Amino acid sequence: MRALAGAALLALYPEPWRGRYGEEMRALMDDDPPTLAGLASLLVGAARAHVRPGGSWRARATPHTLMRLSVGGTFCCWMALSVAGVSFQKETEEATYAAAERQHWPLAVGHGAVMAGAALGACAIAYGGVPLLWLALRRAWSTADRRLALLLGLAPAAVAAFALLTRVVMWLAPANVDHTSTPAKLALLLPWYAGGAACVAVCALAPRAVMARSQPPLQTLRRATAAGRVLVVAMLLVTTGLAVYVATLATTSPQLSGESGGPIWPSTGLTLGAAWGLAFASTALARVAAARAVRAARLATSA
Amino acid sequence: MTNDPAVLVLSSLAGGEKHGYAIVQDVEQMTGVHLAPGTLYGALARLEDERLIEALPASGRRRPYRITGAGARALESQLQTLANLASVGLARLQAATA
Repeated sequence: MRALAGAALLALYPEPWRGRYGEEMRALMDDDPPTLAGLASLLVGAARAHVRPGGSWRARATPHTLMRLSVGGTFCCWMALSVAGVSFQKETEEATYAAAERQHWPLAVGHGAVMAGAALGACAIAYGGVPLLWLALRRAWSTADRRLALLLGLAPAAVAAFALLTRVVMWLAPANVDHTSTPAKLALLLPWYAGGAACVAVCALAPRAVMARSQPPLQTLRRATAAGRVLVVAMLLVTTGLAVYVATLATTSPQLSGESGGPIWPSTGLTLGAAWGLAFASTALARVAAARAVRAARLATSA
Repeated sequence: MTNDPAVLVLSSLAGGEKHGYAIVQDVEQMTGVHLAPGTLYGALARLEDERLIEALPASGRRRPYRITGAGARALESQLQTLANLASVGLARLQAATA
């Protein structure tokens, strides 16, 4: 079972890495099934291989593959940022926040920047991501590729499963959350958070798997690379907007910033701060991935 | 420093060529440290990049690795630093307890 989990985590490593070390690592895990710490080491190792790719195993990949991986990485970061965006939207949807924005213009500017970034990002996804999806759908249909069809269905299935989990949690939740003990809240919320994280992970990773299977042509990848650059600008807008909003809320409206940000979160300020941290990290990673895609596109052109 | 996976792997390969599982077993026997798969292969990839070890032709699903000349020199330098640290540390401890 642990060897199986290890093999599943291997899928998180970059494709050229798996081509070079995958079989050996599987053999090692058959001989020595990983413990929980071992599984965590695979997660950390996969993240490190993506962020700081080595020379020898990466050199085995073609520019086309590198381009596809980097484009997938940029889209993956956008998914992570979307979580921060949704948290921001949920936290600030009440009328008191709109009133505070009317009183303090930097709050309105921050909110506007987040919204503008979200809209720009959606346009970039439509420009670069939709052709990739359309190509994969056509390929799955024309070649009757069941595996590709399955991969295409993963993200919608994950969203549907999470929506179902949300309904179950809401049905089980007591009427008065304020009078519920923290362990009881955690018992309900931790599976929900875990489900949410799993849903985001599937939605972030499924496009990479779809692209690996459908092998989009260079032209479509070039378009996606251009979209990736726009996506980074959109993410910068969102991150800057969040920073302005969080800082202004803390200084001008400490009572709003300090009020409970959810059943277990101590405050709205902390939730928004965490959202900003996630947005910052995903934007930094997206910038690296987008730059790599551009370099790979140049290599592909000169090859 | 004694827990640095790169030093542990190099120390293991200094005793002869080994594949992943053999390195894990050898390191555990030498130091009691169990190298996790992600840690081991992260170290192997880095050492291979730096040409401190080299991969040999695979036998079945397993691929043995061998330490290079540069790897042996790097290991010697690391171990020398460790030995110096150990002797200075021990001398200070003895002086403090005397």
